[in-house]
Amino acid sequence: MIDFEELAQAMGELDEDAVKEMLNEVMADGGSQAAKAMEACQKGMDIVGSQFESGEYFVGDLIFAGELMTDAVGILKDALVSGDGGSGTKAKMILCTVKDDLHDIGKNIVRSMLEAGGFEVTDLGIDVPPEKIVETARENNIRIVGLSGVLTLAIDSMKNTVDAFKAAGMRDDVKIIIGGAPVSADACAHVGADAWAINPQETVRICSDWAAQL
Amino acid sequence: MEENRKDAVIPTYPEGLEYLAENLRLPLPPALADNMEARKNFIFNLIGTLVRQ
Amino acid sequence: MTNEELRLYRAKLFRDASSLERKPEKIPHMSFFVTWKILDAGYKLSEAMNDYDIMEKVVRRHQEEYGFDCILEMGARNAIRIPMALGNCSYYVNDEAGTVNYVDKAICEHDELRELAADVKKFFWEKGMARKYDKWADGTVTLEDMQRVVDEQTAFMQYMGRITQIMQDEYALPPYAAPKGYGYIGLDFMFNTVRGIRGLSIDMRKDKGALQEACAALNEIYYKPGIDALRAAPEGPAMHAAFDYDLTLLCHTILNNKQFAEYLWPFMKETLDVLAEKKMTVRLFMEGSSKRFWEYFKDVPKGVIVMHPEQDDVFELRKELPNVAILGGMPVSLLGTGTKEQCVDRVRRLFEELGRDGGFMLTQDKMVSFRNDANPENVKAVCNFVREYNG
Repeated sequence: MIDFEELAQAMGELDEDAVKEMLNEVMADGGSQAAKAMEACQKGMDIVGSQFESGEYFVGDLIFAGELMTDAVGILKDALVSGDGGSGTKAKMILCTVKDDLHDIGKNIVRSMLEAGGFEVTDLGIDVPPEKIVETARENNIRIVGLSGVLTLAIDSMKNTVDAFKAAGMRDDVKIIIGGAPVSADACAHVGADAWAINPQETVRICSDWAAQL
Repeated sequence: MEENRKDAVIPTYPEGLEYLAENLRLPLPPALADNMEARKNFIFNLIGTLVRQ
Repeated sequence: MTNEELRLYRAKLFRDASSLERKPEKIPHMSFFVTWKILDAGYKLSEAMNDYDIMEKVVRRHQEEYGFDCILEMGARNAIRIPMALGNCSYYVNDEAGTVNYVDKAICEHDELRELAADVKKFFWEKGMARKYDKWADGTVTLEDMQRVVDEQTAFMQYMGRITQIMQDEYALPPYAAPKGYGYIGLDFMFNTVRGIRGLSIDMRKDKGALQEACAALNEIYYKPGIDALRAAPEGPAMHAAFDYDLTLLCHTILNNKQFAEYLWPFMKETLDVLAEKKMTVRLFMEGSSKRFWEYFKDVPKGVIVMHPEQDDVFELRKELPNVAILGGMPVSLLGTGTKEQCVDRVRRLFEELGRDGGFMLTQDKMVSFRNDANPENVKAVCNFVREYNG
């Protein structure tokens, strides 16, 4: 039986060896504690987020945290899928890097944090045209959309995506948040998005508030 | 065929470097044209450029 | 003024502004327009990037249209003909969208760091090249292929020599930096080429020892010769060029403060110390934000650093680092979506608040790459204002 507080702390400290040792112990014991272990990892990601906000951690640490979280899910997944640790209904959202932009590091960090925060994220990848985002939202009844981009031209692509939702008559049905190096309050107004964020914790907060209202 | 077999050494190190240093036409000044060290340095710098591209 | 006099006069504007002790006669204006100028000239990206005669026309037109005091990029950024001679290129050119994207591909796995450290040359030759070039990987590369690569590189170097000479002789523009004025720190090489953003982030946490060994090996080949050459160089600035040295850094964008202090700062400090000793000036471009690290630069003597901030506020930079000259200040976002009046008002404010007593040079805050990054009318308005303001 592992100490879940210790697991959360280890995740927060990005102590890969300690985290994996404890998770393997959970699985060796049959996996019945998998859900609690997942919760502890998610709590650890909150610690990572706080460390980032305080300036102790930076982008490289978030990337590593995302990788560690992915590995953690990989260790626990069989026990979680088998019902020994269901995670309940999750809010759905779309995340992608917009058309003509191939950057995905920021998007991937945000995805890890959103998944740790309880979201079911449909990651459409990079260089995603507006039509694909609209179609995915429509077909899967997804009402929160996150658009990421690093290049200055991403702002144009973000605007085109918002316009595509308007043209499809879906603009009032979705909440759209934009993120990445070129975003700002002015860019958000120009694009017509509902919110903007330049750090993953803020993105999770805003999307969580929206999910609670849906 | 013969050329193909000789060229097969190119991706190996240091044999590939030696082979290229001996056989490529390089834009070195006349004083260094036959200097094997200079020729190898030129080629390795080029590899560095190719790897960075 | 003859062209030579004008060229040296322009170089002196940058030198005086960099010194923070001499107010330049006029505030100099540098171009940081990269692929944008190809589109502005009416060519497709692939046309200019594959034809040096067209690139020459693009650079000439850029200067004729806008009239800068120095042009940083004259076609060197995307030398795609060289890797394409071997069949692969990491740059993806989309002519329809007018974009160039770089496809990140790490050439070293995490568990190969010690192998890299043991023999960088062998690793680059055998594994690095194989991961970048299909012909190398499948063993079908020929002597003829490599001769083509050599010839393409020769053609590229000839173009760079030619365009530099043209811009000096016909347009009276000083070169941006002195010859051999570029530094390359091992960790940045790891970030850009060897491991990439994700890989380096993992290495920092997973096996510091292996990372340190690999960085040391890369520094031996790519950093040390440069710093040794700098130490051996005669004292004094190269007054014919705008700057003596260029340090462009990207890896700090993922480092936390402790990692910066351990991996990057020692090399930056060594470079800055040597430059200070030699009374030389470095244009320092740290991608994204460098504000977290400004305290490190507080004790660097005046006249050494010209900082070119990308995301940071130039007015705040002036307050926090009065010992550092500033190159930049013109937001691409404003050039792209602002009005002419907004752009001119911005420049007026920059000149009056930052350039009043010297220490300021105008350029764009980031590389101007895409069509909508800048409205040509806004660029013209800024250039006209700079000329009028300077008398």
